[in-house]
Amino acid sequence: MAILVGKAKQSTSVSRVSEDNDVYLRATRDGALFTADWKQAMIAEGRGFMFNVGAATTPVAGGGSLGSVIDLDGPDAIVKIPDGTSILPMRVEIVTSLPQGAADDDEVEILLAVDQDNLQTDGSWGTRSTVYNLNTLSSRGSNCVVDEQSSASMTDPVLDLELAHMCKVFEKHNTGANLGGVVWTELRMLYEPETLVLINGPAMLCAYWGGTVQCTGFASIQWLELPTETFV
Amino acid sequence: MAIVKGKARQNTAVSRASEGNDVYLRAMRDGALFTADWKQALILEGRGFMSNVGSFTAPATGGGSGATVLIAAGPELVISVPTGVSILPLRIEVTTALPVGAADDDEVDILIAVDQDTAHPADGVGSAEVAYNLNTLHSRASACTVRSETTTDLVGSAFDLELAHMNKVFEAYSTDLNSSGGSQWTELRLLYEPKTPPIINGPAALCVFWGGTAATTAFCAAQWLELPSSAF
Repeated sequence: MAILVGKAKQSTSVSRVSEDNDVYLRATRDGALFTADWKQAMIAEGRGFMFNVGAATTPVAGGGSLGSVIDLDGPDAIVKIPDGTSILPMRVEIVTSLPQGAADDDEVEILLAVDQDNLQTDGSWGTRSTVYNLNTLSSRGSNCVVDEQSSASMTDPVLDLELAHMCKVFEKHNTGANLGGVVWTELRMLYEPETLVLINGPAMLCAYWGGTVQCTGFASIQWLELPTETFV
Repeated sequence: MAIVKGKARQNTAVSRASEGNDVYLRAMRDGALFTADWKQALILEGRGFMSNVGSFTAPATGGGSGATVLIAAGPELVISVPTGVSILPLRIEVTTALPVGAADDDEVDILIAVDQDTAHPADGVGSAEVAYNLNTLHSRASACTVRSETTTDLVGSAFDLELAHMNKVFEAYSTDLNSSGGSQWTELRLLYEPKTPPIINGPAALCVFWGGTAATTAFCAAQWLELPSSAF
């Protein structure tokens, strides 16, 4: 009968071997096995990436190229996934600075969606952004390109999977000269699922924000990336 | 006594075996074992699916067939699970665009519930929805039937498990339009993403409802894992 034994390495006897060597599985002194999430493994390997829309205190206006409402042909951020590459969206945070001077019944929304079949490589409709590796020591670059702030219309994507959606309505208690109370605060969407969707290129991950009154926002989009052959 | 070791493969020595081959257990260089969630495994295997209700900026009105309040016989989403099939709800998000012009004490609800005995594959009518595979290259199709916005009542529905419920009340501090009061409600969003999902064995139906004393529209994104019931 084989009894499985780990090494009790809780504080003073912790060591780290060189890459590809055998290593004792580490446990607490009471025998609980230490584990690390596979997603963290991918980041350590240099396969996690992110980009931002908006910088420091300067947000980006939503609503696509021409308006304020979210527009199918005007996403505010896109991750473009080429054929042969797959991504798993890991954490997407979009926060809007809700507009001032909103009228009664104005509405704002945030949407994260996937066109699972098509990739539009033309970047002339927006601003190309920089993709950062989530392991800041890794030299691995992403195969994806990312664009933000559409300034022109693209061909309408077909949004097959709508991964997450948030909306908020501005409701005034009365519209008379003596206003009652009105408030809406922030609208923030954090998409950080426990189990990740696997998006295989050619495809696009699109993020939108906007409303019946223009709103500005910031986005932070993180994903894991591997060759598609890993999954077939 | 067998001492268990892994391979320290954190960044530079990572490799991937072909399907069906032996593979070293991968660990961090300090011995912490990398693990991956079994639910993610099912997605990679092509056994994860999702459907949406509402599309882009067009939400779906809640309240069942002709009503505003949610009613047991009128869900906005029905996932019909046939005999021999089991599903595990993975992530269900419902975002309501809260109704404008609400009156004092108006209330809206979101409910996710299961009829564990009847699949309701056709009653209720409504619109057929596509079930997308969460591994977007995978050819496996869902064995479930998905419908939205039922237009007639479900027959003999009895909801045994109420998995998640949210509600919100609109409270006006004053009903005198010329006095300063205050009233507010913002968004109502339900995210059901259980760490340990229930196993729903067909014939059964997973239903999602929203509605209120004022007409309420919403978007819904429902994801689930699916296996033959023989797996359990």
